[in-house]
Amino acid sequence: MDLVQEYEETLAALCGNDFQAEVCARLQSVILGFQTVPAKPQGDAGLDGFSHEGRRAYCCYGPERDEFKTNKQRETAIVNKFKADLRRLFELIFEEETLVHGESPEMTTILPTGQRIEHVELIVNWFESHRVLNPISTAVTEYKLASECRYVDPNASVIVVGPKELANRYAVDEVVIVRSRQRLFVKSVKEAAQVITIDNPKDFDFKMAVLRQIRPDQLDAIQALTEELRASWRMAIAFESKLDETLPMLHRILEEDRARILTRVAALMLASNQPWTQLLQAGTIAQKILAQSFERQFGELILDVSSGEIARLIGECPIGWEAPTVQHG
Amino acid sequence: MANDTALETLVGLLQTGRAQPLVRPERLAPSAVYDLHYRMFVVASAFEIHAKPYVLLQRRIMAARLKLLQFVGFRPWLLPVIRKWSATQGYAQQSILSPQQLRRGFLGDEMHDQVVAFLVARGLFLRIDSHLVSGANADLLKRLYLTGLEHKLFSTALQALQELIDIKITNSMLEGW
Repeated sequence: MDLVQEYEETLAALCGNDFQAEVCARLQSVILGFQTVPAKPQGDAGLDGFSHEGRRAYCCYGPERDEFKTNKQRETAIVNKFKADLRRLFELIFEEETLVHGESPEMTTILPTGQRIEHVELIVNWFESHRVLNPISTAVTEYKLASECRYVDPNASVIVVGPKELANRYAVDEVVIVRSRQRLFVKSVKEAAQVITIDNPKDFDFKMAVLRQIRPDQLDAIQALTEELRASWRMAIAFESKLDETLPMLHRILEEDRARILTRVAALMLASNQPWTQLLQAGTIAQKILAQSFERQFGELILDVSSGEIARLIGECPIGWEAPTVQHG
Repeated sequence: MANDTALETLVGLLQTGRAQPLVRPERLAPSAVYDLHYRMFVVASAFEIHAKPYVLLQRRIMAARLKLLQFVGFRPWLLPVIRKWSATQGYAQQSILSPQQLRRGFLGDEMHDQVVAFLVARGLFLRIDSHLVSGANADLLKRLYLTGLEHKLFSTALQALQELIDIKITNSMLEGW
């Protein structure tokens, strides 16, 4: 498999904002003057990016792979999404099923003044059926007739671009592959962290029960804290699990880093007469250690995974606490 | 996500509650993936279940196949992934949509390479070209596997290895594609 095909596969596997972000990153790296359009806070007017001083426009759509049961449903969703984007570019809305002018106030603040779009690319992560073409091109003809064409040239061309077309269009190198694969990895970790269950959290539950016993006046705070620590712990487990499945060499490094974090934190706590104050540094220690090993590849995750590793030290056995001893006499 | 604020809250509660710290560095549980005995058991089981007869009394398996099989044996939750991956072989378009988690993961399993090197050194395996063949001490592989069966040890790994019998693993998959 060559790099182009590999990139095509990765593009096809990305969806939602990740797909859009990768497409924009790609176009930005190969088209001088490619401008992304932030969707927040005012909206992107149906435009995810433009180039050639506003003469070329780009709209992205990356539906979730499992969102549709059949190709027909997927085709319909793609057609509907792009038709909606095009209506916004053409400043059209439906009124009782009739297309009428609907001003798009944001377009004036996006495109260069006086410029009209001459070519639109509709970029999608699934383009395995030609059946999306006719409905879109027919709609374009209809929209041209109904529109005042303030922002789109009446002779503008519109094409659909899939992962294959995008991957083939410009040279693909290892940097492109690594960037797109990282996106997939980060996404899969975040998704996994939402659904992972923590096996046997008895020790953790016991510690929290002790904490409630020590501070019965802070039950709400303890509950919130418990949930946050659990969420972070799940993130650490998800990161570990994904490394184990896809990059076993790095999993081993993570395993070693975990031991280093514990050694450093334990040493600080054991050597101090204010051990709890030392625990405050645990997050920073974890972050430093993990950053050395993983920042280049997974910098985006380091902060969450660091918190997760500390939550894990508390959740599993190494760091714990007991109620204060009662002094008699 | 728990962040510095969560940790600060926790520390504040523990401090004001005068909780006694318990630090047990020795309680950091290492991942079972690095347990040599466990790995030997899974490799032995994968070999016993999937190796084919070779020459007279020996048996053999492609080294890359064993690597993939044991990888899934350790991670039974990947079975649906490999099943889908196998089903889409030969269909370029479908292949694009099949999960890719495993494709390179098992290739990077260096721990397995080290375990196999150990087993070769101990005479349990012989390397012949791209295959691993049962060696002079291969009876230990069989005993390991049978012991696991008899005592119902690591049943999820064994079940996954059994299920892999029905999944077609192509040479292309063994190269990670």
